[in-house]
Amino acid sequence: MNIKIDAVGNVAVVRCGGSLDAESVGIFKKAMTELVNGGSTQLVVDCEKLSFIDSMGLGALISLLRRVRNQNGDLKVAGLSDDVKTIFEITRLHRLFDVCQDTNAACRQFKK
Amino acid sequence: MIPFCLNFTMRSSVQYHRLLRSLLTCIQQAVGPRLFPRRAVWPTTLALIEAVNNAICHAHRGMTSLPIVLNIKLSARKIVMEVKDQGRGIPKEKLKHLHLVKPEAMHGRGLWLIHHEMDRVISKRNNNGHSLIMTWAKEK
Repeated sequence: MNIKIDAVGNVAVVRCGGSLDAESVGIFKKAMTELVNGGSTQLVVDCEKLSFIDSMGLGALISLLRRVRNQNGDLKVAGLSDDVKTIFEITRLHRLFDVCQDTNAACRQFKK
Repeated sequence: MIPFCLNFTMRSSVQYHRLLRSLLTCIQQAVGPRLFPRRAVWPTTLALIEAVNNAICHAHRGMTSLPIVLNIKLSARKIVMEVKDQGRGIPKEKLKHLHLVKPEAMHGRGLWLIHHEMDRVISKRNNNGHSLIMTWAKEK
């Protein structure tokens, strides 16, 4: 997978491409640990270019969500493809995460 | 219609995930939509990856030298995937009373996803280990 992090104001936008699964989850966790340790607690995970996610990838997102919420921050997911959105719905994670249409909408949510 | 069958053995390692993610797409493109409908690619890929994750993490507990055997069979009516490992298998009670974990839980969704995406899931124990047989039916 590839990860690119942009700052939009106080929000860190994590652009994920490729697959977030058992193979790549270690890379994702390492990058997110560095990001949160660096003080970022308002995160948007942009999944527009994410082609695949499995239960281990979901677990990594939940772990990140718990971590930032413990620090009074939040994590929003944006740009889910139909297939990835279906996985969120099957596992009812769309009730846990704030799922936004796109990154701009997710960043606007933080400003409210 | 000529059926299609693929059998191969891999080590217990996530390094094969890249291959597995593209495998069913490649098979679908090779055999065509009559034998492998396009709408089956995503659910079968997800189920296959989850089953292999279970074999790597739970059955073999990180012992990469242990083999995982995959069988993929396509016929006129169904797609059948079998994942064989050397573990003890899934407890019957767990399969019988499968439930979705709480949203905050970080683990425990793999089997749920397999059951949701596939039409039939059978767990079989034998002398050499365990098989998870997953069937996707073309006619629902």
